[in-house]
Amino acid sequence: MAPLQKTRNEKGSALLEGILCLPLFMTTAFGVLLLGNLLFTQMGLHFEAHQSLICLKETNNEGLCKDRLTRRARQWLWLGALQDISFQGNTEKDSSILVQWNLEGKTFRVRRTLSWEKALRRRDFSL
Amino acid sequence: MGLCLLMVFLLGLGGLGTLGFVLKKKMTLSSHCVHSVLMLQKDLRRPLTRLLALNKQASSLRLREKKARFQLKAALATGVPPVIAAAKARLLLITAKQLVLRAKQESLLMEARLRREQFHHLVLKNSAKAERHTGFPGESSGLAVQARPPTSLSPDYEPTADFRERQGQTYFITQKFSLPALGFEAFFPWEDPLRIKESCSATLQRKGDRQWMPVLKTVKVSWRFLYGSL
Repeated sequence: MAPLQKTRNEKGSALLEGILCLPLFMTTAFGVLLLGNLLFTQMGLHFEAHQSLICLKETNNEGLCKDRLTRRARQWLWLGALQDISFQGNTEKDSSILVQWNLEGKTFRVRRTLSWEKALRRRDFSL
Repeated sequence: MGLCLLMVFLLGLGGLGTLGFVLKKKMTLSSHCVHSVLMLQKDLRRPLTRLLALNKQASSLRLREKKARFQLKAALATGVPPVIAAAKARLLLITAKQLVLRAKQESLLMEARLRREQFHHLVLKNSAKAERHTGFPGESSGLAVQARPPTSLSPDYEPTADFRERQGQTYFITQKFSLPALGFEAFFPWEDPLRIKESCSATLQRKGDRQWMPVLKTVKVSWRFLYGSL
């Protein structure tokens, strides 16, 4: 039987590693959550912007559709705040909207345009 | 703990992916819905414009018919056979012209009806799991017009008082998704648990003197702001 070898005393090293890794882990987790939230909000606002363009075409009432969009956009904004909603044209050819929201001073934009003229030229009913 | 966090991360990613899928599908469905009803109304514009354009001819024929009847009455009063025969022939000619015009009017109404039927029975590509329902208020006629006078052989056709409502075509579409396609069949064994609904409606609106423009209108029972149901 080989003689026992003396090993280094590693007491407390896991704690030290933990302390060192914690900021890294926290930063990564925070980054992932933030990115997830950004994606979630952008997706939701894209959808609501699309629906509000159809609402505008249906009702021709900018105020009503803007109110509806404001209400619904807030449901997607878990973090951040809605800054501005502006319909940038509602003609026979196309309708366009710009939604701006901010998070910690950074502004994000969602722009959506629906071309009615193009839609009426294309005879494709597939889903 | 690391594994647990990884699970949470993956679940979050999956949730975000599913949400993105649902929203994307909902937008596609709503674009399809709006596009389809606007396209139908665009197709209905042609028979409507042509039907209304025949009104001038119809009025003129009615006037000539009235005159011919009056002349026949006068001819009968004279009792002279050639005069009576000539008056009868004139009336017969006008009636024949009215019949030809009536056939044109009926064919335009039929064309509109056919367009609506085609829309109702439209087979969509790549949409085995889509349920479609269409409807419009004046189910018996393809166009929201009324004949004036209704008993005439060649009446004028005019848009009804509630044309916007009666001409409107409503479209409801539901698309079902089975979760095997999404890769979640192990968690949700039942069939087609995800349904995305959409509804829209369009009608024609007069633009200027002779032009008609397809426009969207609100649906009473709207699924516009629903995301889908599991």
